[in-house]
Amino acid sequence: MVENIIDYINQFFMYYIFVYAVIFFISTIYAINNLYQSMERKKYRNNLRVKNDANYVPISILVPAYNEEKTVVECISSILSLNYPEYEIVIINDGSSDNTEEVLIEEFNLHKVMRPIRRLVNSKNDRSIYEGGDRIKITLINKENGGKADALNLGINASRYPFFVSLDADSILQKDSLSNIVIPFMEDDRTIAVGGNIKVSNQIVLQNGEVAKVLTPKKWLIIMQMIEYYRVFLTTRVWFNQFNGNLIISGAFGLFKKDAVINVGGYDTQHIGEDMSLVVKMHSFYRKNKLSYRIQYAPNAICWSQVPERISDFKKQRRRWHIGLMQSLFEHKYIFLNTTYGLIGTFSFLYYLIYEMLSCVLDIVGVTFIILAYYTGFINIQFFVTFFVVYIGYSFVISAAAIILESYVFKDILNWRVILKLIFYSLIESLGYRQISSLYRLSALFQYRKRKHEWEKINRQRHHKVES
Amino acid sequence: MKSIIFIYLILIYFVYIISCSLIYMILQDLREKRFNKKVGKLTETFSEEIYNQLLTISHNKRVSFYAINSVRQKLKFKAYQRVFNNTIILLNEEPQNHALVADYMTLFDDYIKKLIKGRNEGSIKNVYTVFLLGQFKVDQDYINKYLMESLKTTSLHLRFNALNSIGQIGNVDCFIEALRYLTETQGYINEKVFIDILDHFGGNLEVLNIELLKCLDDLSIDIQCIIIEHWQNKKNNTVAEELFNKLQGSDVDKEIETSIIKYFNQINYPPAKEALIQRLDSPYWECRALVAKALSNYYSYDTIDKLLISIMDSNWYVRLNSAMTLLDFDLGNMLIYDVLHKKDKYSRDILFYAMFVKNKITYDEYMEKTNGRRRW
Repeated sequence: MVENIIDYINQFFMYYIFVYAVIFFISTIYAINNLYQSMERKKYRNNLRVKNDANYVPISILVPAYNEEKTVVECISSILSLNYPEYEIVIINDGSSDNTEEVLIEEFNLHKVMRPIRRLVNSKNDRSIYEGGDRIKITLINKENGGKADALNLGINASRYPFFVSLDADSILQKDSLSNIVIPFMEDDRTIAVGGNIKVSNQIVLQNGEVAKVLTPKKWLIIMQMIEYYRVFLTTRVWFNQFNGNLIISGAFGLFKKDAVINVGGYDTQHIGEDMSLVVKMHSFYRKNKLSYRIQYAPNAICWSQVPERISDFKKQRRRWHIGLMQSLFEHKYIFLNTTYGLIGTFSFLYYLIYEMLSCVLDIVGVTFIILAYYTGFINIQFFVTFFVVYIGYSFVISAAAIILESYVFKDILNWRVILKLIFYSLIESLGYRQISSLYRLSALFQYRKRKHEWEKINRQRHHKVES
Repeated sequence: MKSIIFIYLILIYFVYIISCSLIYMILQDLREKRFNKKVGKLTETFSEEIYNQLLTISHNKRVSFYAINSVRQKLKFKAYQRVFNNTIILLNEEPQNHALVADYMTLFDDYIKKLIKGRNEGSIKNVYTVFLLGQFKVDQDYINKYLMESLKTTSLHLRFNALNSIGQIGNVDCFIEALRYLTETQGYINEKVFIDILDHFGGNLEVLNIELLKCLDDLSIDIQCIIIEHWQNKKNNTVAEELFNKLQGSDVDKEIETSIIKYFNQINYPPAKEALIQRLDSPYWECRALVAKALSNYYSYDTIDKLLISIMDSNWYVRLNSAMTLLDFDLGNMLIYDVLHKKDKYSRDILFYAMFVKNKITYDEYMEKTNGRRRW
């Protein structure tokens, strides 16, 4: 009897991993094909071109900042060096207790102004406004602390242009990122949001606000996160983009049609995963109202963002992400297996529920159970080996494919030393890093009620710099 | 046991497919690098040959048959084709070379025909061919026909490149036909991209403008607005009268009306003044706001009187634009007196705000005059 139950549980985990392998096979093959095609299109000039600067879509870049004195100046400097003709920068200082306000005023020579802000979406009031900038207008809005979502809502209210980018204050935008992220809007007028490709910035060297080179990463935690980011941003998101199925646009870098965001009431201030919450809300609103729309992903729109270097910060970040994911899925549970929502209901939501939200349970419990079952003699060596071949070997193949894809698509970014190091580390990523990450996500499951309104700030470092 | 073997086999198959795809991609990349190396080596000599021939044509001399034939023979090879195309693209970056390139490319009719032949609709290479036709600028029937056919597609990139190439070649009739086709089929091309194509039309712009005016009413509202914005971008005042007549029409569409008002904001056309002033009573606030801004080009006592009324409008943007325009007229203290005399707190506040925006008063003066209150 006990033997049968254990056998069924083991079979269940085996099939779970097998379905996981199938999904990643499809997404990797699709991504390889799609990215290869996009490289070919680039080579043969299959792109939309605008010659006159006046004909570009003007964009507002919103930068919410809370205690970002270390990184915000570099972030704004990188934005100022973009090769895009018309945009403004709106920095929303969300009640910082450090010198964020002072460093910005001093560095960019801002002066106090009085200007009206429309209440298009709910947000706390501004305390003071500063403006400056020569070619590119910079606005700094100081407000009392209300969280990232509230700061972004105030930014939406204050922005002048019909499109806005949400950008983290610790991020660095690649020079052509705006020109690339705006393309899906030009290609399809149904597009309401586009996500950018996030890369790990801890190892980059900046020169005049631009990324000059990527150093070989030394810390294992950074290497593991680099591999993870490549896998997510170059395989899964590319595939989900095909059927309009991405439920998340990273808060670090995304472009939105302002009207569409106002339609859904802006960012949800009660959520700590405001980025996913907004995207799920937009899917829900447009599907419910039977409006044609596209939420897209632009892999060539690159944003460099810092990842945690310390395990304590990593724990905070993963816990916050997981609680944010749960909040979004719980709030929109009516989408689950609901055919009215098309592939969002029948596939995307299911995928995020099982392979994003519950995977931490299955990861920890599954591995523990199979190891115990083997040592107590309930499963034979063949089953045990198959499980780990699939679990580690297959994950290695997928990660290595993502790294090779990365080096193929973005030729100038990684050198061979970094590539080989990453491939080597991807072999051990499945055993160790993945379990640690799952453990922190699992803790979020248990602490959901207690921590669902807590935003735990993680430490940031200054970027490496070379003088021009 | 059977299921485990099955899983093994499937996984091996997956890994095999992924590996093959990656190897194919890497090999293609290496092949491309080798090809580019070859192209790099040929560029110096072959480009020089093309430049020399172009120089001969620019001096109104004939290029020898032998020289042309030498280039034609080389164009049978892919690497030479790449160098040739790149050279032409590079030359086209300077507008003064356009006519020269068009003349030169008439000598390579057979090369163009070979390019067009047997292309799959919507394929990446077909889009490239369509792009190249725009660069070659040869105004021949078979090319125009091919581009018109390419316009009839579901592929956005092909449609964009086809319209762009038709515009680059600059055949007015063909371009108008393309606009009519897009109106009928409602084929989507982004508004800003469309305006850009119009702004860079390669043919005679005067003739194009005449033809556009003739067929304007037959085109879709979106395309009409795009054309009006193009005229605005190009500061074309030859169409002002016709646009004024259109604005006076009884059933003018709201979108077109706002486009025309924006046009008159850029182009000063005195006869339009009365019509613009009347529109300060429009039921649409967007229209009132635009007119309040456009009137800065039309100084008169009537304009000032009407703006002194619209500065009390219920909409903030209309009030702001009215105040900004009144300040542009440089009326000095008279304006402040007139506005304060109205005893309307909103118009008073907006005037001081506009003065602050235009740097006529400081932040502190503004705060003092408005007692630090916000009446947005």
